[in-house]
Amino acid sequence: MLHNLMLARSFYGQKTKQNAATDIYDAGDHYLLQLEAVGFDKEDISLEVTSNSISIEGKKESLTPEGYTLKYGNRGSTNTFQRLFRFRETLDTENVQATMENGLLNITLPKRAARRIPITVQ
Amino acid sequence: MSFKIYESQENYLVQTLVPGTDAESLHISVERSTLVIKGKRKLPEGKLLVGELPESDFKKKLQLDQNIDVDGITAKYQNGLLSLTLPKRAKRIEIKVA
Repeated sequence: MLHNLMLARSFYGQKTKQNAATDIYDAGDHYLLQLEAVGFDKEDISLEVTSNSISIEGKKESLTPEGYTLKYGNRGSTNTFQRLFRFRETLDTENVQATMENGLLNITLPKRAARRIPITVQ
Repeated sequence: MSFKIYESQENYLVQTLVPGTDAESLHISVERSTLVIKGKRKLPEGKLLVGELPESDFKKKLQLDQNIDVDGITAKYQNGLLSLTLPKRAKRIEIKVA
């Protein structure tokens, strides 16, 4: 399933970073990437796209609700993430779109149409 | 499943992540003494290449403590984060000695 796409999850160290779960779809003319970013505002997230990769980074303040103490669950685990994905097909970096909905970051990455190079015979 | 549980003097606060789920497709109930959260996330078109997100059709269960006022449970949903406030039933009354 992964032959199409190389995941470089270990590119960044994992020790202190919580990696946001991600689904990636191939929808023919584009890829759709859905990344779990619950509690993140769009200002907390930065994207960097190249012709064959996308790197996504999120940072936010810890959010223990006032008056409460944590009894169960990971302490401050979802405050930072860094992910890098590489794609086999060339991306149309000009037309990448990202939206946030219900805590999911949806990124549409159009594929660049293959460029045909005509051969002129002299 | 993936819950975060906080405690204050009066309440427990249970938080769980349900990314991609609309508030309308979330159903919360208490069956006997178990809190049940059901929900559905819409899946996009296309061929799945990488699948790390939790299942789109999910059911989360949490066994509730005896001292929780089940009728007083309230739920709040915002951007993929479901927060449930569970009031404690037994209020401790402190006796102050003058």
